[in-house]
Amino acid sequence: MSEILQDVFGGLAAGSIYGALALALVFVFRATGVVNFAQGEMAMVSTFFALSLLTLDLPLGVAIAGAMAGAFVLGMVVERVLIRQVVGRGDHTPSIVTVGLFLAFNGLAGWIWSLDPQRFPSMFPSDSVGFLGTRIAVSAIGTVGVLLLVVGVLYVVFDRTRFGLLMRAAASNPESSALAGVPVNRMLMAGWGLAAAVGALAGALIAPQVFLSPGMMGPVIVYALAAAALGGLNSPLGAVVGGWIIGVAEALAANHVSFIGADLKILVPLVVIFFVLLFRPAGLLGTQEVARV
Amino acid sequence: MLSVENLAGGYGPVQVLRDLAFDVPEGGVVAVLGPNGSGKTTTLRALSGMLNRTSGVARLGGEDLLRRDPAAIARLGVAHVPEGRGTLTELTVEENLRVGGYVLGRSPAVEERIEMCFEYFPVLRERSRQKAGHLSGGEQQMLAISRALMLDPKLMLLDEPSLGLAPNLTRSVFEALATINHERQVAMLIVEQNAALALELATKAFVLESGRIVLEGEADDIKNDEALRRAYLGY
Amino acid sequence: MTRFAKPAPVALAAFVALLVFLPFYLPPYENGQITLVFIFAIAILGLNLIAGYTGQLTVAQSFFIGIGGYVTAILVADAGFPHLLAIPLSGIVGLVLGWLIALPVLRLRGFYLMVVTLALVFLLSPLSKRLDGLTGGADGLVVPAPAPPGGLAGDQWIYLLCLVVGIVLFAAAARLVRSPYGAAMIAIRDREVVAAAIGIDAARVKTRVFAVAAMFAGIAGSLYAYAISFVSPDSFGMLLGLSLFAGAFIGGISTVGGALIGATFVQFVPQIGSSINDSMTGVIFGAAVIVSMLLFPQGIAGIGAQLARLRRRPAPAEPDAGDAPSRPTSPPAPKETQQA
Repeated sequence: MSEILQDVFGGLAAGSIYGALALALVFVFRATGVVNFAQGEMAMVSTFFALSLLTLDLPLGVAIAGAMAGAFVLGMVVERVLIRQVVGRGDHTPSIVTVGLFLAFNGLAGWIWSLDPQRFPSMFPSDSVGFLGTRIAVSAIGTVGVLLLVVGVLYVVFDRTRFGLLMRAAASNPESSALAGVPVNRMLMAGWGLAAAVGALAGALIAPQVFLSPGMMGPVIVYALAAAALGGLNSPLGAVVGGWIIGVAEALAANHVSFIGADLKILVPLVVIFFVLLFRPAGLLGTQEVARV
Repeated sequence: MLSVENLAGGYGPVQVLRDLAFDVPEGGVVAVLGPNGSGKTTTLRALSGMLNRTSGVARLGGEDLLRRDPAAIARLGVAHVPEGRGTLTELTVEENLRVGGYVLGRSPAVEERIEMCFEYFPVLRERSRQKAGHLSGGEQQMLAISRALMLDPKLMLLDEPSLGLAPNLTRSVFEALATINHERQVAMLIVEQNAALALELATKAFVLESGRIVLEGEADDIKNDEALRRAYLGY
Repeated sequence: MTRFAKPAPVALAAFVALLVFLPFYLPPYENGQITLVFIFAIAILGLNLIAGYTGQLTVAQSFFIGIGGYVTAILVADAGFPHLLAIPLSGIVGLVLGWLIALPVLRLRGFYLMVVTLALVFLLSPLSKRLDGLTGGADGLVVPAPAPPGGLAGDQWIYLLCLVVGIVLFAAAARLVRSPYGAAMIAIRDREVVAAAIGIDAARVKTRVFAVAAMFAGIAGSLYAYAISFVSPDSFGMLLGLSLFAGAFIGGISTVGGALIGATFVQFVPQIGSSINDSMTGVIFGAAVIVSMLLFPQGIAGIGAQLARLRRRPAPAEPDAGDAPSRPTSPPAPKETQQA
């Protein structure tokens, strides 16, 4: 029992990271209709940037904040310079561009920084606390807590601020919003920036466990995509819950299904996706898509 | 107040509008009629900054509309109610109105104008906290008109306000438009398939065919001339 | 839709003749390079069929190349199968596996296929390490080279083998895309809802084309095993999968000939890249595919057609005025619900 509980908490922590990256995917998709396959690589690059800030002897909190700010700018630049040019065509070009970005950012990280795995400090102390007869790592609780904090902040921004209202308007109907004078393109840029910043946080959360390297986020984007799909791609809540489901499923499968073990964990999001496809293609919480013909 | 000359334009390689010229007087209502594909919607889009490629002149009280973006045109007081209403479906009714009033900034005028919209359309007040996507077609049309009213327009561009609405709802919508036009002196350019309804409300009208004006005149004259109606409007 | 001119038969024949005689004049290393270009071209050709002509994005060609490579290695090294037989067998394994994977996925939005294939890209390495009894685990498998007939050198034989298989598959693909089935593929790519309305079973076509693409990759994998004489878990990973994807688009995704151009990129960019820096390959590919999508989305093979179209166009559009959202390039059309 205690082992299962540990798995569950570990899974919730990992799932929070998948959920954070999935949130970023959902924001970008809702704002611009694009699936950013490079979201994980952008997060990885931002985390390397945090590492560079750390070498300047800045405290971890400042380094991570700096990385999130840098990621915000990066997201805005990518939207403005690349994505905006290719979005109107009505084909798959934006996705192809994001795959190109995947390759480019992956290579850039190896070139600018290093191919060797790097240590990255954790935000949390390495203790554990007792809970229901077993020990849970503080970092696990902390990670879930950070995600909840992020969700809370985003909720406040989107639902209770004018800026959030305008972003939702721009995502809901860009044409009507533009006709009302809303600077839609600037809102879309901000959406990409915000998503990238959330992704950077996800990177900073996972790096202490898996070591920071260019390949760090490669499989993670698959988990995040699966989590986003569980949420139907347009539900932030679904993305977070989806992340938790996948994280816990992965932890349980890794420790209790001998075929999967620790190295074939990527089968878990694959299986989850197949299940979603079979039973609820619109995701657990998603809505039907409307398309122009 | 709106004066248009030699207006031409289209989408990419496709030319839709050819050499249009018309006026909308201050506080006046002009109906734009014609068959599908004649360029009625495109005309409105050209005036609200949504058309990729335009040439000619379109002046609102002296300010050129054609080389501006939609936000600048909204600030000049042109409100476009698009075909299909353009409801921000994910947002509540009240949020829709707030977005409509974006150009007013954070001033108390926003609250005043929201109140004004509720006066014109009480049903919106009842539903103010509901998601706009859940409203009926008629209610969404009222919401669209209100959203346009929020920015305190001098000119409203309405694209097929009667589309998909039951006859009694259409009557209410047009009555509301008449009231708004009289009380607030808002000029209107209305694209309509329902020519009879449009001609009741309008003072002037013109008929488009393949991007050109083939008939124009006083609304009453066109309405009362049976031969003209049969030839150009099909009724 | 752009029509790409068929290369003049004489030019094509001359080109093929050149390719046939080349290995007798080039040293083994260069022959090996060109052999790999043929191999990648076959894999990319499959990708063009599913992504370029049918409009379904996938990065899984590397996965199926790996499957094909391992199947061949196991059949030949462990079970003593004849070399030539292993090639189509690897193709068949790819075909069946591709079909099984695509079956549940392709009924739905293209996004799901990308996610599943991305997962497959990361799956092959740990899977082959895990099934080490069969695959030799992390050490991989050595593949004995096929014995060359007559007076041919080993490298020449493999070169010609790949060339012949390539010609057969390229001819088959060219026939397919010009057939009514090819028209159905293109209809699905461009206007799936309309294609369904005229009676095309989109899910079935997509699944079958994906399976064909997987078969091409399986065959490519088999030839790869012969060309390199070795398969290992890390031969078929993320970089290969994404590079093939990028190369296909750079070459010209909706063409048959573009596959050869893309394959040239896939073979030679890593060499140029790694001479600068270990990580440059990804940067070059990424930048190249982005630039390609921005400037010439039809790829290099499509440049001619694209330039011709630009010359025929009237006055260019007004520059984007800052805050206006992306303006449509066609008149507004009524919205319609799409089946999930």
